[in-house]
Amino acid sequence: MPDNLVEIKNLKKYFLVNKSWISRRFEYIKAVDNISFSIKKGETFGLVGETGSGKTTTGQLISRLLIPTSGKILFDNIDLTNLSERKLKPLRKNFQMIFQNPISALDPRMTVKQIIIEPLNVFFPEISLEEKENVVLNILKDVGLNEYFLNKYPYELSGGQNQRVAIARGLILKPKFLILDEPTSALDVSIQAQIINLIKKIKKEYELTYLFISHDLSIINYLADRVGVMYLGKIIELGPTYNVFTNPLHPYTQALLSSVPKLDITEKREKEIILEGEIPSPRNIPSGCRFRNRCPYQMNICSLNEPFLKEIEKDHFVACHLY
Amino acid sequence: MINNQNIRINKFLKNLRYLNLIILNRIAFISIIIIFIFIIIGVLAPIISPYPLQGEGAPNLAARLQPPSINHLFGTDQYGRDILSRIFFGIQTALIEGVSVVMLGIIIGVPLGIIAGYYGGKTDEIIMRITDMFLAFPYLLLALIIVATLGSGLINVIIALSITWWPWYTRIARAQTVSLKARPFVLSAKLLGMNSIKIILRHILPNSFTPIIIQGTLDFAGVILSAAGLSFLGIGIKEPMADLGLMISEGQTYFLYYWWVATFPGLILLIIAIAFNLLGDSLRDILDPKYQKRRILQIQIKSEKFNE
Amino acid sequence: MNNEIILELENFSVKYYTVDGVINAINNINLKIKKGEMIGIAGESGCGKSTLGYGIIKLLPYNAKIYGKILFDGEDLTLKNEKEMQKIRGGKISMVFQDPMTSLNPLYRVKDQFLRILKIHKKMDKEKGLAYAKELLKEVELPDPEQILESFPYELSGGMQQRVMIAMALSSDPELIIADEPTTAIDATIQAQILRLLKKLNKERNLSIILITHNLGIIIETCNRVVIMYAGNIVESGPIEKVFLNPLHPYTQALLYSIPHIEKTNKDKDLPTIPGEVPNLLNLPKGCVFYPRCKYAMEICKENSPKLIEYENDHLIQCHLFNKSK
Repeated sequence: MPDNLVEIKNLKKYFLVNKSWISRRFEYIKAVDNISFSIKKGETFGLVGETGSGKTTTGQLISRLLIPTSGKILFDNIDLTNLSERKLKPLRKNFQMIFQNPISALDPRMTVKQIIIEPLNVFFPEISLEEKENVVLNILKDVGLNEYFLNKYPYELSGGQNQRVAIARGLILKPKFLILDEPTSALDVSIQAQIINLIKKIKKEYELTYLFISHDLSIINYLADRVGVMYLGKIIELGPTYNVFTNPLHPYTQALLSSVPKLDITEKREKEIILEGEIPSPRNIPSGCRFRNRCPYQMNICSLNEPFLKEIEKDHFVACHLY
Repeated sequence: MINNQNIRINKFLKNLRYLNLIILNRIAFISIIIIFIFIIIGVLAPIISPYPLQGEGAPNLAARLQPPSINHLFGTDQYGRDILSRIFFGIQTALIEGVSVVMLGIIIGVPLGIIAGYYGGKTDEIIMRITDMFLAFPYLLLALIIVATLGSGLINVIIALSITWWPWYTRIARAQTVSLKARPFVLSAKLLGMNSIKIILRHILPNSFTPIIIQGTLDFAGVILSAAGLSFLGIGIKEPMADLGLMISEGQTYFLYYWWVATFPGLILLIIAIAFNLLGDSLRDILDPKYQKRRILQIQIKSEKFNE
Repeated sequence: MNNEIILELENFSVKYYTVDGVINAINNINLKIKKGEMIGIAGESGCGKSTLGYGIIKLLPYNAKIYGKILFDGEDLTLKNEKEMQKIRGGKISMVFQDPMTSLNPLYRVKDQFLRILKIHKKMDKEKGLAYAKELLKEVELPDPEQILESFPYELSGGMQQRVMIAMALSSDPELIIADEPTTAIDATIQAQILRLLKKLNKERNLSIILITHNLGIIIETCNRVVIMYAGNIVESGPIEKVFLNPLHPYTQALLYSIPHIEKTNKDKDLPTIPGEVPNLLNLPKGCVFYPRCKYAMEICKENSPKLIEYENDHLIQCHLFNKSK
């Protein structure tokens, strides 16, 4: 039984806005509002949601780019939550992040070689330059590039090539855990497939665990073992990808799946679920169940009580009063 | 296998690339030539001036207010001094002023701006409010106060101008820092546990150079003009030191019959200011990495006409 | 949908003259669009689909040159000058852009932007204009049109902004709407709403819509016909049932299969990919543009550009694999 590499317990991140000195009123954006889940070693955990769902913020909290307002983050049984930067630094080589837009994820003034070698300079300054260069060359091969790219600048490369460089930089410290935040959303369709294949390949080769954040359900379905669906800062459904996608319990998940355009003409489109209304602003979260304004099954209890995650079938959790 | 030799050669070629681009951009090229000439003049003024002692201020009352001639290409001023030599020394003064004020402005202003932008919060507030205070101060008033307390002269002109100029660099540096701070490549550096100072020096500063350099180049002209203005009003450089503004000011009185006393210094001042302005403008293009690629190809295109 | 043709592109090309050289953005294409038809133009970046959209209404940058004919309403638009084009744009042909945040003027309230358009194209005064604007906002399914009219664009969500854009596009009773990636910047659940809206408008108003997008799924959901573009060429076109059920061109096939499909795709296998990169439009090799990446490449593909031929009724293909000429 693989143990949990990452454990999130009651994680919250509230951003303070509009601190009015006069009336002493504080307004919060509840970007992440009490979520809990764990990621097993070796699995790919998918986090799905639209704008304002809090999925990107979650990624930044786990990687400690942000400090949680409350809750716990456990990595390999070490409590990262309130660790000082000094104590955190040696641990950082165990987890890295790949961002969405490859061109802005690389320092435009650095060459590919400088970009990829930087992590080595930070963590292993004692190693000779020659050895570091060797490691860089090997990583380049692993991501499908070669030494031709070493002296190039990011603006000279295509989107796909830049993303490979970003992945090489993420891998060079041989981390255990990678957070991928929409790594293919900014790429052309035909390049997306190449990068997705690369992501699969290196997971095996480097024995990685993934947190894959995306709004694209087809990619999540293809890559993720388990998935969490987020809406306005909460996880509203959680479980193995196969279960969640073939038997979506939460009305939001059902609508999300329904909105994925079907590529197969022959498929008869089953009941099309189109949600009415807009996604509420994170400043103005509805009382009770935050999805109730758009939910086709809204009941009285939905405006009074917030539903909590309940296990409906094995390992498959949903937060909804329908159950 | 990567060869250390290759790395050194590549670095050299990389720097040559900038040189190439400057040559390619005609405006930048001409302004650089002009500025280069001025620098040579300024540095070598005592050596290449036809009448170095007069340039430094020694009078020659026998030859007062003589029109331009073979002996005195630009004529002589009211003390009989060769105006060409005076101009050479005036250029020297102008360059010293320009370099000093811009350097001081950058050294004081940029770190403050970066700190304000990077750390945000109260630090940001405090620094920016102080910056605003200095920005609100008209340089003329400040220069008057300083001259009144410390006296006139080159050093005090530099001090007065630096105090008014640094806030602009703070603003620019802060704006750049704030925009860079949120970019994924900075987050990526944070993920390595790099401390703030390292991130600022390695990632934020190099990416902030461009607007600062451009501003600095444009400011050069502004500083020289401002210093000339102070001297013109009598609160800057004083006799016997040579300063273009001072020369214009003194030449005013004689302008009706002895036009050359004010005109030539004025023309030179104009040329210097224009040259630096043009350079600043074209630098903006040159320093943009995407521009490099376009210009190099443009040469190829020009040689093969577009085929319809 | 009858068979009346409202827009026809004849030997249509667009070249960009740049410091880097001549970019052949669109290479001699022919296209007919019927009245009431919803046609999708699909392709990746650089294929020329956006240039096509903007080119039809001649809204290209100064260094672009248009060749060929754009026949609309019995006239050739390439012969029209800028003033005449301004009457047509936002008039008989409207456009909906990708990012509504940047297409709506952030400084003016929605009602002011409406009134301006209505004054120019429909010569309506303030009272009539506002009433008409309210009707349009209702038609695009916006609740509380009065509130929307009073708002500034930044006060509205992405989906609402896009609906406002669509309403503005409808205000002149256009015959044709060109929509350039209208849902790319919008969330999935809102995207579904917008697409449903476009379908409704297409049916109710018998409005022809050109939907430009890289998302094949959207085209399958909403359009009647599809045109697949690659490096400035139309490589395949036809009714969606024909093209997506039986994709002929290797690029179309590769594109379809490289997108992970929720039920069909085998998770244990790698996604099928198209090797290589999109070609550099500055230096297009002779022969078929897709040759370097095609797994069925033959000798003839290297030398000759294939022509667009009709494979079966209305299903056009540009590929040497289907050259019936022997």
